[in-house]
Amino acid sequence: MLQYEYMKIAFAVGLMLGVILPLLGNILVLKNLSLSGDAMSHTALAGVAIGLVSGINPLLTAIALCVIASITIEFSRKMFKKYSDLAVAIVLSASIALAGLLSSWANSANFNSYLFGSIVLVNKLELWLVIAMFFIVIFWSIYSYRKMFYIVFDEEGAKIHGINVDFCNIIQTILTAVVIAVASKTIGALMVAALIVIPCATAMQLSKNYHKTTFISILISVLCILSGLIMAYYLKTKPGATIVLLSVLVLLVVLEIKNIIKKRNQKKI
Amino acid sequence: MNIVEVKDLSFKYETDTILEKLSFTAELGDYIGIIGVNGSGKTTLIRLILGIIPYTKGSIKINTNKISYVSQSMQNKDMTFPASVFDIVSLGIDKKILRKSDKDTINKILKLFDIYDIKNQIISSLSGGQLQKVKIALAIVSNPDLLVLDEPTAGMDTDSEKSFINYITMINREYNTTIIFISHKLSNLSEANKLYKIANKGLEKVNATI
Repeated sequence: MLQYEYMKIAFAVGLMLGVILPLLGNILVLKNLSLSGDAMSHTALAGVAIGLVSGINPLLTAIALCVIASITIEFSRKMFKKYSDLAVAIVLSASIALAGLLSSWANSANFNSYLFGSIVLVNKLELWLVIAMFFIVIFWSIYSYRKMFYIVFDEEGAKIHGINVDFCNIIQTILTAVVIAVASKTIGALMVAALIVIPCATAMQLSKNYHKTTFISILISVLCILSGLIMAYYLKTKPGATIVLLSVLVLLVVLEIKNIIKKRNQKKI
Repeated sequence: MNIVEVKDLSFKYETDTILEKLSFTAELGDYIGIIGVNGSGKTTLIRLILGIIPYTKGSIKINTNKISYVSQSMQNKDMTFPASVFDIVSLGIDKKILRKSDKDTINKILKLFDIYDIKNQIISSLSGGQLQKVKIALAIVSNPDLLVLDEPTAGMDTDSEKSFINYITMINREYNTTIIFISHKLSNLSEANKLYKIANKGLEKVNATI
């Protein structure tokens, strides 16, 4: 399997996305914005459709539209404090509608490659973008780790404490948007949203500690992406779908094990 | 030195005037008590001072950036956030990596508030009173010049409330920390050197001995 160059690249891309997707996803989940990953991945699709119709590189139009959508969600979150999911729902609906409308004029084969991903067909530009995003997200996550921890716990408190909350939020938002747009091409727009949230959900079942949850979610995500790729290679299935289904399976197994342990403990009492 | 200067402050919410031409100053080391009935605008005043909401007229000058705030409300999020007591209190220390001296400072504060024994517990497992103590410990660990407390004893039992008041008095006297303490209970403000009452959209100085 590793004799093929495209598989080596797929593993490298999978490993890098496996680390940075849950790093960004944890913040979204703790901000109660889990669905914004979904909204942004659909925005990426709309961006791809714009690119395909206009003749501009679809990856670039996807990134641009995702950044605009994510900033819209971030600002709307402040305007509709108690209904932050409202902005997410509006962006999600508008993106699906725009992608649907423009896909009528776009090349369907190209459009489908963004819908379901093509991690084994990553080109040089995409590979360099993933590498760049990997290092930028890692650097930002280390730099802002405690600040973002404070912000997701208590945004007002963090602001009063002297943290530049608006700056941190906007950088986090833009990075999330760009990573989702790039990952949409490699593992598929429909899979990105799942991979940003599911490993975090599984990790939260295993730990109630922010630091451990972050670490476990990265571990689960990397393991699911790498083993999903191996399974897809031998079973000749679509890599993105295989990875997501494996992540869901891991979550279900963890939930079931927790349930069994809980029942045993109840019996002991 | 004035830490807080509020002059002719007015605040309107849509067309309703909530606060009108309100003025006061807090000097370094002052212990200011602000009393008022529910809905009188106490929390609004605090949120204006802290810059959380914009004011309509007047001016607010804060001469320090070392500010801490303890809110009255317990958000739903507090109850589900995946972090230990120690993790939360450590957020008050502005460092990327905590050193031994920082951990010692945090442990000292945890002991003062009688939450040292539960420092590794996840905050979602705490009672309302314990959670409020965690928030206060977080506010104090950064050694602020200005400590703003909005009904901080909500959810505490009588003993915890008493020891909390004693602790606030101690940090005011030992560290010269300026305190602005908002409460609807006059007994909580017995140590304040300046006492104000919010009434009729304004602020009146109260000279009565408690």
